[in-house]
Amino acid sequence: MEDLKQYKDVWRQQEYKDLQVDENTLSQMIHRKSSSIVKWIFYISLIEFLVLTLINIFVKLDENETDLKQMGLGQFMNWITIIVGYIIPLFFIYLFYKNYKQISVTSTTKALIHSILKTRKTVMYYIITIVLAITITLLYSTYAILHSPEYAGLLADYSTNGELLLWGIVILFILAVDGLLLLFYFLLYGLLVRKLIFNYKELTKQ
Amino acid sequence: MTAELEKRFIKELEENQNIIHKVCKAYTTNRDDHNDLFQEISIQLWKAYDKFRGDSKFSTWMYRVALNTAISLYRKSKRSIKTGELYDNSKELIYEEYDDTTEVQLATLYKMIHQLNDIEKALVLLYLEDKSYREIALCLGISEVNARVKMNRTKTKLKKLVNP
Repeated sequence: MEDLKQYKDVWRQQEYKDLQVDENTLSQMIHRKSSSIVKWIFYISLIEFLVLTLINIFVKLDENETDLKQMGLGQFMNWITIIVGYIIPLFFIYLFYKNYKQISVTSTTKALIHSILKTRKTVMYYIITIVLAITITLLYSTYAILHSPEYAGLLADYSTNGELLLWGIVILFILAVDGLLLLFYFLLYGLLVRKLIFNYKELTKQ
Repeated sequence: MTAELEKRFIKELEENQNIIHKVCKAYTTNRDDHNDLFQEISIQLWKAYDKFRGDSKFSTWMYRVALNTAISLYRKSKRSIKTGELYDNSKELIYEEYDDTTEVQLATLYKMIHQLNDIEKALVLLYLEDKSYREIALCLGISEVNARVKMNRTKTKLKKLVNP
């Protein structure tokens, strides 16, 4: 190949006669819906916030509060519900909105990609936080159950390896739930921002 | 936004639309994708138009938004892969040895551009537009030195692609 410079003239001469769009069509075009990746990230993130918040609400509704109180978990569950159900989602929604508003198509390419990835990362941190909260709640509840006189007696009657069995079931359950949530997230995340991550690495490469 | 503003925008968009076509042709390989990207860039330009202060030329501002959309915001529609009509590169295949007409040269150039990644494409496009390394660096958000280094690497890559 000869030098790229030689193509400068020919580049300027391009006319695209067959592709010209008239004012009328342009006028209609600019009012159509955008299909940008940012819009998808916004919708998917909102769905994730909603789904996880709904899971929190349903988990709370399904709890047998009397049983929890008997096990000494009433206070613990109240705090968990307030923190995981309200404080954490509100904090992350605020962060997400703040980052989302900073996305500007007129900034530099590097700054634009960085702000999109930052917005998406906020959702990733939210998911990790919820997954951790679910894990800690399940582990703590299991521990409390095993140490409550009523349930410990029941387990002892059921099997000699009752405690071990319960831990096994709980850990398997945690792994399955956490694994599914993380797999779903990384698939979605990977598909959406794979191109952006690649381009960002290209830009930051020295 | 007012009707007056929209009218002014449409006029400028129509006059400068070749900039968008250049970006679309570099970042897509068929007509459907070209049209999709053209529409997305137009939408993004209109959404950002009220922030355009006129500090730079409209065409420069347009280039930045168009490249940013192609690199960061655009998602190729799956539909177009099946139905899209490929750009007509037949001329370059037939007349490659008599590489002296504008059309053939352009076809060769686009064929090379299509083998580059998104960032390399942006570098080549800005270079062909005669932008200085400072302007290229400002558009992409990298240092001037880094812009030079990347441009040299891209040129080497292009040479290797043509003469493997």
